[in-house]
Amino acid sequence: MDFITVDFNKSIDRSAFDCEIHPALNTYIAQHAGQDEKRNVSRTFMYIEKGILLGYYALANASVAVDELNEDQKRRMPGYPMPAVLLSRLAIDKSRQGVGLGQRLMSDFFRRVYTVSKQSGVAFVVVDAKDQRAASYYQAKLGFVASTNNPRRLILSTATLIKGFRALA
Amino acid sequence: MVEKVLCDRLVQSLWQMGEVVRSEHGCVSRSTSLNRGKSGRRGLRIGVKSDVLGFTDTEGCIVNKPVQPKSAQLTADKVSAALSDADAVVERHASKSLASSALSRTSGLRTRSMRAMHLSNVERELAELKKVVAALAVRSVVHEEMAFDLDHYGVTVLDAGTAHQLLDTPPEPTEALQKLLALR
Repeated sequence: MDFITVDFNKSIDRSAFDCEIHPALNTYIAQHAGQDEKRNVSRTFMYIEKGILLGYYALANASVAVDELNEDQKRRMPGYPMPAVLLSRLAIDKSRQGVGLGQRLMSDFFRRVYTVSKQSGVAFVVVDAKDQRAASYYQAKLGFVASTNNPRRLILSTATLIKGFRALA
Repeated sequence: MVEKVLCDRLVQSLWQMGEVVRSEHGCVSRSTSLNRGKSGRRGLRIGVKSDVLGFTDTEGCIVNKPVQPKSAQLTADKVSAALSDADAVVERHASKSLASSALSRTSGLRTRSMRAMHLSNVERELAELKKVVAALAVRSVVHEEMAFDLDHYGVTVLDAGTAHQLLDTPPEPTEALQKLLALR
């Protein structure tokens, strides 16, 4: 599959990146993303134009636990936490906000999940919405559902994603 | 560090209290006692009344391991307010205790002379220390609660019915999702 992002590259200047809305996302890419890469905690993918970082997202593996299985569900469903890919951060530089780059990065992220799901089990896609506006977008528009313990941690079935990509083929 | 200094101070006051009671009433029994549990964790058995976290006992309450804290019922605002109050009390008394500890190190006679304190002074100091211990208890419970929340936060939990539906009968992608997937 084609991706519009490239692997994390520490030689790219990250200190100038400014998403304006959440300073923590600026700090992350400038100071912590490299450490997380080195420690294999998460993978960061960068969108770069003319050598300038304009957007990024980070993903990691996660698991989803299921609460209160009834007897029927116990027979039909695994009793252990299920694998997921977590979109932990996504940010766009203020110079490119409002032109659809965020959606393109989301699409890029979904393509990566689809690719991973062919090699290893991924039952769910999990995202952490930064605010209520983003959470509403994920739920109302993209079909995510809220987790039980955190209304801003949202979940989508990988099977839905696979259906979508197969429909494009 | 702060907890140790405050506990030492409390122990010192309790000893002084005992000396005063003994000297004024001619008995050696103490109205308070210190316990050390099997685990070695320090537990202070004193008569503290605190309604901040729903403690109702006024006698024999294990302060730094409260029985059934009803912290789940606390709202975030209440927790923050309780923590803020507790922090203020602890910091104020910690500064005072550290200052007096420094004095006691420089003057060997000070400890001895404090034995002559009047019962009312000792009682007042003990009352203050009870407040500090209660504040420490509040702070420790709030911090434990925060740690629990963080642990809990790290796990994504999904309702069993929803999970079953997503796995076995996954919904079709929405129109917006389908358009998004087509983007390059």
